[in-house]
This record gives sequence, C-alpha cells and structure tokens, in this order.
Amino acid sequence: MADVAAKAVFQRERAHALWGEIAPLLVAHKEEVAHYPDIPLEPDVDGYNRIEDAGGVRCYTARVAGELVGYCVVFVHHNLHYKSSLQGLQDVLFLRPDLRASRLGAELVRFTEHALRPERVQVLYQHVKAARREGVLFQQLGYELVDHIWAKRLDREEG
Amino acid sequence: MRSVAERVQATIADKLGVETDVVTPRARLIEDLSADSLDLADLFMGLSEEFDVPIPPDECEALETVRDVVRYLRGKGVDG
Repeated sequence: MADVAAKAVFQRERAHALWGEIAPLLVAHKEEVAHYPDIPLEPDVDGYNRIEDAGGVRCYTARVAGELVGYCVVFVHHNLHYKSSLQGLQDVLFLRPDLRASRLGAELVRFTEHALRPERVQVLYQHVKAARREGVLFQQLGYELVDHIWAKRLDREEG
Repeated sequence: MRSVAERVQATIADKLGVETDVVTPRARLIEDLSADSLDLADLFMGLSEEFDVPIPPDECEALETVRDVVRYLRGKGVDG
C-alpha cells in the first residue's frame, strides 16, 4: 500500500474535461463529509468552467494506473483585502478511501503547493471539516491554524 | 530511564490506539498496526515532540517498521 504513492501520477487537468470522471468521486466525497446531508449535491459545472476560463481555478489530480483517485481543486485570486497578494483557497480535496493508508494524500497536497509556487501564490488555505482529523496532516506539512468557520442554518427554526 | 525503543513503542501504542505488545520491532506501521496517513502524521509529530527531533515528512516515508523508527531516531542522535 505504501508504494501506491510512488505509482501515482499527479497533474493539473482542465475542469472542463474532468466532469464525467470526477462525478462519482464527488458523490462519495459528499456522502463522507457533508455537514448538511439534506442539501443536494449540484455542482455548478458551467460556473466552474467559467471561472476556469477566467483563470481562477486549478484542478490537480491524482491518478493510479490512469484512474482518477483523488483531486485538489483550488481557487486562485488576488485577495480583496490585500490586493497585491495572490492567494489559493482550497475548494475540495479528496482521496479515495482505500488509498489513504499511503502517503498519496500528502503527495497530492505537496504537488498542489509545488504547482502554485511558480505562479507566485503567496498563501494557500486548506480547510477541514471540524469533525474530521485531516488537520493533523496539514500540521505535519507545515500549515498553521488561522481560522475557525462557524455555520448556522437560517432555513430552520431557532432552537 | 526508558530506552529509545521503549519510548517509541509507548508513543506508537498511544498514537495508533494499539496495545504495546503488538508494537514489536518488526511490526509494520501500515500493514500490521493499521495506521493510515493521518495516523502516521499524528504519530510522527508525536515522536518529534517526544524526542525533540524534527522529522520532515519526506523522511517519514522510508520508516515502515517500528525498528526503522528506532534506528532513524538513533541516527538523529537520540540516545538510550
């Protein structure tokens, strides 16, 4: 299992070309981590494609024997508060569960970092669901905790 | 004073939630002790803290067994 990371191919791919292949992984991803499972998964394909055409999104993939097994999608933009700072904000990061006993996830994150550095991305933000423990991986990779995000459903009666 | 091997054994047992008697020198972290990548990240940060030795992620990849971990730490100058 540990060798699978060595066999994986990491690359940047076009969102336009990924939709058919990525759909089953997005469903599995949503089922695994969605905090509000009642909100349906409806990726705005045209929206992503438009942002990609405008240069605002990067899709980094992991493939094993040609099969898509993971992805890290990052929005890249100049921060509105610090407009000289180009920053990356992870949108989704996923690795097929049966491959998580390897370093493949860490390698995908590092590939993403290496791909964004030459673009002069100054900060890369990675988010993790509060109930999950992926933060330990980011911590090992040199990330620091900078934000907490709180959510409240406004379509429900207040308790 | 506990030896390096004993401290490694205790840290691995704690971080991976296994009994110390299964943390043998030949035990493989992933295959035998069922560690996933997040367990390994947590484990190596715990070992780094326990022994006050930086363990870069690149170097973790070569550490497959408990014995590898002990040898690695001794190679970093950890005594005992």
